[in-house]
Amino acid sequence: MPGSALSHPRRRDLLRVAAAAGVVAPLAGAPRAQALRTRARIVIAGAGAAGLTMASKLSRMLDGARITLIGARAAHWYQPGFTMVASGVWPVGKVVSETATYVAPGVTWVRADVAAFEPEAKRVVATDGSSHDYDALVVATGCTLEWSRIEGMDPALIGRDGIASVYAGPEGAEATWRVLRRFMETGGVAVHGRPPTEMKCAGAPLKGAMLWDARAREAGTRGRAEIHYFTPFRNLFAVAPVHAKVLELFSARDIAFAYEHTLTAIDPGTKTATFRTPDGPKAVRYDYLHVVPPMAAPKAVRESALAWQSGPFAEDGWVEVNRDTLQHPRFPEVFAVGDVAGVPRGKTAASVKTQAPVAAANLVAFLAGSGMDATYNGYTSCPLITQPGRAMLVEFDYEGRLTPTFPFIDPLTEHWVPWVMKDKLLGPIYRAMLHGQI
Amino acid sequence: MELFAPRALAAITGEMFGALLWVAAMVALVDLALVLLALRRGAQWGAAARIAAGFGALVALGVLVALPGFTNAGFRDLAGALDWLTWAAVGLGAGVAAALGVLPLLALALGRRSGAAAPALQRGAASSLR
Repeated sequence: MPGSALSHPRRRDLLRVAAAAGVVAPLAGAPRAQALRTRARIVIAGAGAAGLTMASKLSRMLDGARITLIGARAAHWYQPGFTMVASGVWPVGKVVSETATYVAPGVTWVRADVAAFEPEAKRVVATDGSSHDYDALVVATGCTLEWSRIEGMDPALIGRDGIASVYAGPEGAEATWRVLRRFMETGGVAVHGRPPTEMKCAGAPLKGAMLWDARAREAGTRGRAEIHYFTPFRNLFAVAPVHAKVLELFSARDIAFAYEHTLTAIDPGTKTATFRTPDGPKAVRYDYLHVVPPMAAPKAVRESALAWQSGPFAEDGWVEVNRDTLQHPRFPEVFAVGDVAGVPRGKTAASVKTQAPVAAANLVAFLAGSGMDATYNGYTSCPLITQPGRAMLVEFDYEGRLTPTFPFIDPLTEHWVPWVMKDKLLGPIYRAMLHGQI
Repeated sequence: MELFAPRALAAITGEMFGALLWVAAMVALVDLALVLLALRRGAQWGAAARIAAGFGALVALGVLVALPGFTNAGFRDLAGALDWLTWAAVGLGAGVAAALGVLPLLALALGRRSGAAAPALQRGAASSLR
């Protein structure tokens, strides 16, 4: 096992932890994971949902480890709530909190971003100049929004001249609602779509189109508006039954759509969006444009040996991991969780909730020199809001199989209950996740 | 599933209600103490239960009316048995909780059952028989 700083668990330590767990077991209903006694240096790159969750979990699962969390942003964003802000349901304050609230006790938080990964030297260099050697590394940097890949697009345009984007942080979500509200008064042509890259919450652009439709109907201006949805692919959603359902919903709501259309440029002056299509460039005039930028791994990841070297995840530099164990195949002391992980589908908070226990268990097993038996099945979830007040709780795995948590909730039927879960329940689940409690 | 483990449910409930959870626990404890006290005093449970049930019904009605709005939705959003059963269950739960909450207070306020003697009087009566 690599890393001389590591120490193996001793029987009495395990017994001590087991005894401690026994105190809470009657309340908990299940014993807590046994803590591994170790002096290992753990570096977690990224202090977003994935990084914070991993820090919380590992601090509970390891006894004596030195855990360093690297991430610059002081504000924590509850990104699953951005669509609620952008549709005028929530105030923006509901999706912003302080990162410090979630940093587990005993974890050292370096308030800088990662400047470089040096996996051969087992070292991470931060933007504040500090360098951090590790025995195990968790890459959880999230992804970057590649606005510049759309010619003429600048995030500073969001909130002006009909340009919106729920992806541009809390301010972007708030600005989107402002633009949407204004547009509901005037009507016109609304253009939605998704990028050709992997993206976080692939359901969000669909929600955007349907929420816009619902809001326009409420305002009585739907008759003065056209809604279009453009996708680079030949489906509206990668999971077949969900695709079929969205087709049905779009048809019922008179939302037009087109396949194999990739947004390549915008001209805010003339309010024209240009799409790459099999028939050549196509210009579409818009009054409201919801821009979803291409997404990629952060530069430090892309330019490191950690990124996939070939295959579908190589172009945008996602971290190469075994999709089941979330362990790097070439650097076994490295694991990846969250948006940056080069696995199919897993770019939602629900993915983090399922990935983090797997990566944490496997990292602990790696430190202990034992076999890894935790596996991630690709689970992700999308509460697909179809109108304010109704949603479908869509959950699926790597194979695109629907995997409903609640067997009594039909994942392909619009209901109020999934909406209530989105509005009231998922936030507390998310916070419990950040605290490493689930 | 781990989400349904008691520890996970406790954590989620704690995150959802925060300090209110402790307030609710305190209220429940006080309520329990009042129940014991009312039992000891031989309270009038029948009349108290009828009034508490009426109060609970009012609370349930209020919750049922307000619930969709509380979730940023409207009655038009409730679709199918799942939604209506959930809506009814929440209202019923709130009503039962409210009724149980006021029941011992009412029982104490309404005094003893007719014919029931207070513990002190019973003791006094017993000693006078010796």
